[in-house]
Amino acid sequence: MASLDTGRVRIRLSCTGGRVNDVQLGCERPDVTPVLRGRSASQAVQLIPLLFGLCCQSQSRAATLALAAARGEECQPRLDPEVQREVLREHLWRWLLDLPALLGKEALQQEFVSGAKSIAAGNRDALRKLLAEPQIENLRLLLPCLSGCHRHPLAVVC
Amino acid sequence: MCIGIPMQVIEIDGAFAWCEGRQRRERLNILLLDEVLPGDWLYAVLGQAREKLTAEKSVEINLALDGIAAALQGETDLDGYFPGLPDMKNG
Repeated sequence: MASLDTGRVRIRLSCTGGRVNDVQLGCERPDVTPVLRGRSASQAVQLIPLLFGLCCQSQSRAATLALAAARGEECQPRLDPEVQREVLREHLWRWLLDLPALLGKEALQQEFVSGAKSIAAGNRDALRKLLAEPQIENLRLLLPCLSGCHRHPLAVVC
Repeated sequence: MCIGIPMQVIEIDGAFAWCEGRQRRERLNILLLDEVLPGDWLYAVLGQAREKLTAEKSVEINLALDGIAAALQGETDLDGYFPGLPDMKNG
């Protein structure tokens, strides 16, 4: 089995006097074009979610829309429920990993785990109940603190 | 990022699991998964276990990743890496 570097997005911020004055953004992913070249459009759409397993609903939808655009077909902007749920889950997942630690509230991680599971299960009632809890409200009040957070390194890899 | 790898659980360590896959050993955060046992296959992204995989799906993804690696090495006959797509040759 060959080793494979799955890549990264590299964001480099330069700051002067507490303000960002330059941003460099680099996307380093393996080039999958040789795998797709020569395939039919339907094969490409089947392959994309297999290759890009993270956000695979969005990747699949993007591939379908890109092909439709290449054919000159008119595409109505539309966010289907599966993609919407995936976007919510992915955002909450990053929050789960990053925010509690950044805010010094590691104990909140369990709330985020519950939220992520409610979204994965499509359980809106449980999610609504969780979001109404005082702990989450406290977090909302703490969020503005993030904008002044100086603990981030200049180079962030995600 | 965007591309994860299948890893098999070797040992549970609280909210983490020691896993092996694609020639590496890694300690994955398993907070998001309900019950993880040694032998389970997980989809791993940046140190996190995102979901459980069946053994069959793990083989399929690993083969597809081998396909990317082979393409990057200049291999051009890649159909063997994607057996789950029956219409691959004539589609």
